[in-house]
Amino acid sequence: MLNSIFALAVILSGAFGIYALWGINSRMTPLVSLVVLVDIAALFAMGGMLKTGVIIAYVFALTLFTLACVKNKADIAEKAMDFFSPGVVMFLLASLAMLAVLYATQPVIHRWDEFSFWGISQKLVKNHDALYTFYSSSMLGQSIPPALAVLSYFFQRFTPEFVEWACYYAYDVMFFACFAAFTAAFGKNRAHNAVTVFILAFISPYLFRVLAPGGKIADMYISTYADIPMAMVFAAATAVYFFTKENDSRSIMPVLPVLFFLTLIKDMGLALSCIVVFVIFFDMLVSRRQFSFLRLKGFLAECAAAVSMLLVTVSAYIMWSVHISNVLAINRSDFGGESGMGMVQMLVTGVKALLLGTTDEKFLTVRSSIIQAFFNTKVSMFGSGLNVVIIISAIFALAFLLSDKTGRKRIWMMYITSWTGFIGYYIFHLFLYAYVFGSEAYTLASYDRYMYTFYIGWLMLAVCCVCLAVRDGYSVLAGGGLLAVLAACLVICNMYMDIGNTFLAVNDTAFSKRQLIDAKSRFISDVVEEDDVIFLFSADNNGAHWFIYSYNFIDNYFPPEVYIETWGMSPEEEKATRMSELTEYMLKNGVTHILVDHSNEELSRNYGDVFGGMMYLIGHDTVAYYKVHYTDTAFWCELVKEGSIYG
Amino acid sequence: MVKKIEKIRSWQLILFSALFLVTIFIGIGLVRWSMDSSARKDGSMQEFTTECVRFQMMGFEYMGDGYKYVVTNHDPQMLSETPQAFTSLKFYMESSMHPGEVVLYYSTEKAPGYSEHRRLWANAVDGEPNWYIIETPVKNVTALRLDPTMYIGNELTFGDFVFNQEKSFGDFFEITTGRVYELIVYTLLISSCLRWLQEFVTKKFE
Repeated sequence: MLNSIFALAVILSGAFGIYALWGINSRMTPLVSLVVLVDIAALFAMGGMLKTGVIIAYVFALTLFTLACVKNKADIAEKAMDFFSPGVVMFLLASLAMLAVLYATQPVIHRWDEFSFWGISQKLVKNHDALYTFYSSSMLGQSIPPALAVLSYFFQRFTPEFVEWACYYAYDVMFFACFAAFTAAFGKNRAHNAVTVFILAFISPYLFRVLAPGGKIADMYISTYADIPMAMVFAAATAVYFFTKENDSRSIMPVLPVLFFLTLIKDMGLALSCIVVFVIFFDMLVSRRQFSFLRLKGFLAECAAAVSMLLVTVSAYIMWSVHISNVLAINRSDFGGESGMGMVQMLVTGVKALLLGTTDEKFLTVRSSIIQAFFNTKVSMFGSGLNVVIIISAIFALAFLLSDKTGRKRIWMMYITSWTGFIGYYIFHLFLYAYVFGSEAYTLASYDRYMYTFYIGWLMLAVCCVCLAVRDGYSVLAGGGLLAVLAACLVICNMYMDIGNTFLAVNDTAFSKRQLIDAKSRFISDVVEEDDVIFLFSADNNGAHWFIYSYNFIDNYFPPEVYIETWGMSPEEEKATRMSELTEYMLKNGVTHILVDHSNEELSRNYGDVFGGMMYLIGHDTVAYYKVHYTDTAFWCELVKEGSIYG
Repeated sequence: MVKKIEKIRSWQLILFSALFLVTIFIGIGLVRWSMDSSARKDGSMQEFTTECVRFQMMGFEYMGDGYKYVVTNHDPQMLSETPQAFTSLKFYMESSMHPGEVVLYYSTEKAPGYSEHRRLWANAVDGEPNWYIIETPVKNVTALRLDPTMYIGNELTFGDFVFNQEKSFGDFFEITTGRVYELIVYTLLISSCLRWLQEFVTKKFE
C-alpha cells in the first residue's frame, strides 16, 4: 500500500518535472513520466541490476522535481495550478480511488495465462529481484519482453513480499496515465470534455468483451494480460504527438520513451510501434509547416523525426534480443512454432503465398477462416469486426465533419493510415496462425483477444480525432458528439453488463477455486521442502489446479500431467500399465513427492494400493502430501501430512 | 435567461448532480421498502423456511444421509411451481467440488418459461460458510428454478431454504462500493452534460 502510494507520488513528481522543465503539455506528462521511469528500470534490469535500476528511476524523478522547483521558484504556485489541469486531476483521482478499491477487495491472480506467464513472471521477478531470464523456473515463455513485469516491480520495490493486487494497480495507473493523454486537447475551461473522454476511455475495454449481466466478473482492470495495455499505450503514444502544438522536437521527444515501452511489452508491441510511427509521419506531412527537428527544417526534419522514432523502437527490440541471446541463448528472430521459420522468412513466405497463391492447405484454410471471422465472429458488444470498423468509421466521419480545414486533412489522413495499419496487423496475424500456431490455428485460438488490441486502440484514435475537432473546429457540436458517443457506449454496456461484472464486485467468493487451493497449499506448506519435485494427483482437473499449485510453490518443480493410453484394456491390464508407465515417468522427472489434491473412484482403483488404500478420502477440503519410495518397477508412498483445511 | 444560465458556476453543477443522484438513490430505496412492506402486510409475501423436498429435483440421485444428493445430469434443476411474491432466497448447500455458477431462474405470469433475461445469481454469504443468497426487488413469480451446480458427480448436501427473509429499513439503503462508484462517475457525467448544455445555450455556433 505505502509502496504503491510512493510509486504514484514519484510518477507525479516526475510528471511535474517534465512539465515545468520542458513545457510539455501537462496532461501527457503522467504517461511520459511513467514510461521514462520504467524504461530506465528496464534498461538496468536487462543488465542484471533491477533493484538498483528502480532506485535510480525513483531518484531521477525526484531530481527532476527538485530541479523544476528550483528553476521556477518565483512562480511555483502558479505552475502547480497550471499543472493540475483536468486530465491530471482525473488521473490522480482515478488512481487514488482505484488504490482504495484494490486495497479493500484484494483481487488475486486468477486467469489461465496469468499462471502460465503474465502473473507468475511478476512473482518471480519480485522473489528474485531480477528479471525472469536470469534463473530457471517452470514458467513458460521466458523470452517475452519485460516492460510490464518491471512496471509491477516499480510499484513494489520495498514490499517484503509479492503483492498480487499491486500488479493490477501498476497496470491501472498506466491506463489512467494513457487516459490523461487522451484528454490532452482540453485545458481548464474544457474540463467537461476531458471528463467525457476519460470515462469513454475507461469503459472502452469493456465494450470488447461479450458479457451477461450479473455473470462472471470481467477481468478488465484486474488483469496482468498484455493485450489491453498494448492497445492503450498504442493509442496514447499517437495521442502524445497528435495534440502537440509545438512545431519542433518537443512534439516528438515525448513519443520516444512511449515507443520504447510499447516495444518492450510483448513481441506484438514492435508491430504496433511501427504503426504509430507510420501514422505520425503522415500526420506530420499534412499538419506541419516549417517543422524543425535536430536543426533540420521542413520535409527533412519530418523524415528525421520518423527515423529517430523508428530507431528507438528498433533499438528496444534489439536490446531485448541481445539480452535473451546472451542470457538464455535463444535466437529471437526464430519464432519457433509449427514450421520453425524465422521472422523474415515467415514474412517473405507469407507475402508470396498471399500474392502469388499457394498450395499450402493450412494457409488456405486459415486464410478463409480468418476472413470469415472478420464478418462473423462476435468480438465486441457491437458484434463482429465489421460492425466495429463501421462504428469507428462513423466516429471518424463525425470528427471530420466538425473539424476545421487542417483538422479535416489530418483526420482524413489518420483514417487512411490507421486502415493501412489495421490491414497490416490483420495479415500479420494470418501469417502467425498459418506458420507459428499448431492445430489451434484452425479454430483461430484467442482471435478476439488479439484483435481487440487493435480495435480498442483504433477506437481511441477515432475519439482523439473528435477531441481535435472540439479544440480546433466546431467546439460545442463536437463536444456534443463526444457525449453522444459516450452515451451510446454506456447504453450498449448496460445491455450486456452491470456493476456486478466489474472489478467492484470482487469479494471473498469471486475467486473461490484459487482460494481453496491456496488454503490447501498453506496446509502443507510447512512440510514442503525447497527441492521437492512434486507430482500432482487431481481428479477434477482441467490443468488449472496444476498451474495454481506450481504458482503457489514457485520454487518447486511440478512435472506436467501425463497421459497414459489404456483404451480397450481389462481392469487388471490397465492397472499394471498405468503403474509401470507412471513409475517410469516419475523416475525420469526425479519426482520425490506426490500431492493428492482430489481423488475419485477411478484414481483410487488404479493407484489406491500405493497409498495404502486411503486415497478415496481426499476430497473437496482435504489434501495429502506423500514421500515417494521407489522399488525396482514400482513405487510406494509414505504419508507426510494429511488433513482438512478446516482443521 | 441566457445571462442567468451563463452565470451558473461549475461547482454548482457538480453539487446539483450529486444531490440529484442521492435523491434518486433514496427514492429507489423508499419505493423498494414500501413494496416490500406492503407485500408483507397484505400477506402476499411471507418469510418461511423449508427443505429441499419442497422442490421437484431433476438430475439428482438421492444418496441418503439426510439431504445428500449426487448430480447425474449436465443441467441439474430444482423446480418450484408455487406462485408467490418473491424477494430473496437464502439456502444452505455443501458441495464436494466447486459448484460453478449457482443461478435462479424465475418466470412470471406475463413471461412464462425460463430465460437468461430472468436470471438471478447467487452470492455466498459473508462469514457464513456454505450459505448462499439470491436477492431481487419484490416480484410476483409463478415458478422458480434453482440450478445449484454445473457439474456431474458433484455431491451436494442441502440444509434450510429460507424464503423472503425480513429486511430492516436500513438494508434498503445499503451503501456498497458499487453505489459510491456510481455516485462519483455519474456526478461527473451529469455535470459534464449540464456544462455542455450551458455551453450550447449560451454560445453562438462557430
